[in-house]
Amino acid sequence: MTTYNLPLVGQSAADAGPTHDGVLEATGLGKSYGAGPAAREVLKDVNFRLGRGEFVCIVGHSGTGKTTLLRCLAGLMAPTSGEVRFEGAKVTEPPRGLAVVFQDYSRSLLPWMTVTKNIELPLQGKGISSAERRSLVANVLDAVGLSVHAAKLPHELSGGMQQRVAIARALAYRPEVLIMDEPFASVDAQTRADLEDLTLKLRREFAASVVLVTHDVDEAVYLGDQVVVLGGSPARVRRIETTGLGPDRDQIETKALPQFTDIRARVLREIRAQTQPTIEGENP
Amino acid sequence: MNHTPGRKTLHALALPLAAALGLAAYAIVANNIFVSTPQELWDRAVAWWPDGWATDLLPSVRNVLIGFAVSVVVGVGVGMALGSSRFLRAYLLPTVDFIRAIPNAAIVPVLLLIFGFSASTRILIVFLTAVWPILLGAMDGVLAADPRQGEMARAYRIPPLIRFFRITLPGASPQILAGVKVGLTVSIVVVVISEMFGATDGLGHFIIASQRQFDIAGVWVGTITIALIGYGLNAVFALVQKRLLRWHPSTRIDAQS
Repeated sequence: MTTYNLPLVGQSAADAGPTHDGVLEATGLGKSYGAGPAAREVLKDVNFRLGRGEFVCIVGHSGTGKTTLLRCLAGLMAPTSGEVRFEGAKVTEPPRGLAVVFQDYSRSLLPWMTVTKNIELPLQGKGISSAERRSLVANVLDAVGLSVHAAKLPHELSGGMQQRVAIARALAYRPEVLIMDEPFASVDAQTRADLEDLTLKLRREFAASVVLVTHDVDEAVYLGDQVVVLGGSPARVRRIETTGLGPDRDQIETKALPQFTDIRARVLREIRAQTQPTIEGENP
Repeated sequence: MNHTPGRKTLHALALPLAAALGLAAYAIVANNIFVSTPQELWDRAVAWWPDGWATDLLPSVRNVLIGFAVSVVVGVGVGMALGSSRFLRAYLLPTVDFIRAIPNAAIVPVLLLIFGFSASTRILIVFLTAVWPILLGAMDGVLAADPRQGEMARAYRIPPLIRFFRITLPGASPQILAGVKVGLTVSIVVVVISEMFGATDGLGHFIIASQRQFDIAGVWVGTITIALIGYGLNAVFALVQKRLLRWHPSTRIDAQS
């Protein structure tokens, strides 16, 4: 549990260069949907860097293109301009060594497979022996506290438990980088807090670098070493905050720290600055 | 409401029993020569069975099962290929839609004329009838797959073969099984119709032969036998379906109670 390397002295990820130890980098990333005059530009000149062992949260108003950015980073979608590099190699397809936890756990878990089989499936494709698969699955199930539910089908579990299965599946894959798309958006508040703490614990245990997209500013500041604010239309990186909150965080204590509330206020102001004009413009 | 298995069976049997009793009472009282009494039916069934199971029952069941099995293999294979490829759909779907618009019973005489009155023609007829619902079910199943599952497969770099057998096929199975169920039902219908033309065996032949000889009880025995086979095959199928779709929302309520 000592693989944590904090505090990360805030190097702005926006002006990312090849100088730093970036495991996942985007440079000049742009994405438009459609072509010609009807094209809609969602991302413009987004620069992003995830350092090894870092936890970066991307926040922004709904519909700013957070998920688009994340899909480009994961190699699930080709950017219109710019490029993404994973460990120095250009990303065109989802790279080995990168795992994704999707927003909608109830749809990304396969309903016909038990918890164990769901976690095992990606490992099978990796060509890992069945004995080794079993031990990997047992290990991650233990880590997310679902060992007793190994033989159940997803629908027999609560939403929070299903999302833990999805996280376990990603961890069993042993990724260098874990990408999480609004992973806790569809669970209740208490479960959400539990899952946040679980994520912090697992991130320490498994020493993965994490990119997490969320619209919840508290969550972003609570979890992240860095918080990247995405905003505008097309969206760009508007602000980067280094939290410096240390490895041990607590839902009550940490969130009461002046440091936490200051960062939270700055991030919120930045997001509000991005969204206010459009809201006023839309209201008659 | 009590839902013990015994009580459930009783509920299910109430209507058929009432209908059978009503019909039996009518037959005895009305003395209508076209409606046989239970005694006549029983005697006819007992007389028919010793030879009948081999000359009438077995050929029908065999033709249904072979034709149906081929339909499942071809229907699932081609249907899933169609579901996976926009190109194939563009070229093949209009033709498929046209062929399957022909009523089941209407293709029977044509095919018998072309291929002759043999058992293999009857199997072909079963196949050509049953394959369409299965094929379309398989295609719909693939098309209805949740795109998130495909995205998950891509993100985790799951190889094509594993992806097909562990994700695509089980994902399409609810629609495939719905198509298979329709296919099974029409198989039985069409095999009996085919046996009514120029056959020397099968239940359809038995019914037509009995009718021509004014053996009314024989017609009834044949008809009831077909109904029982159809019901039996469907019951077996329902068990298979329930087992395979244990995970599916449509079966979950049963699974939990």
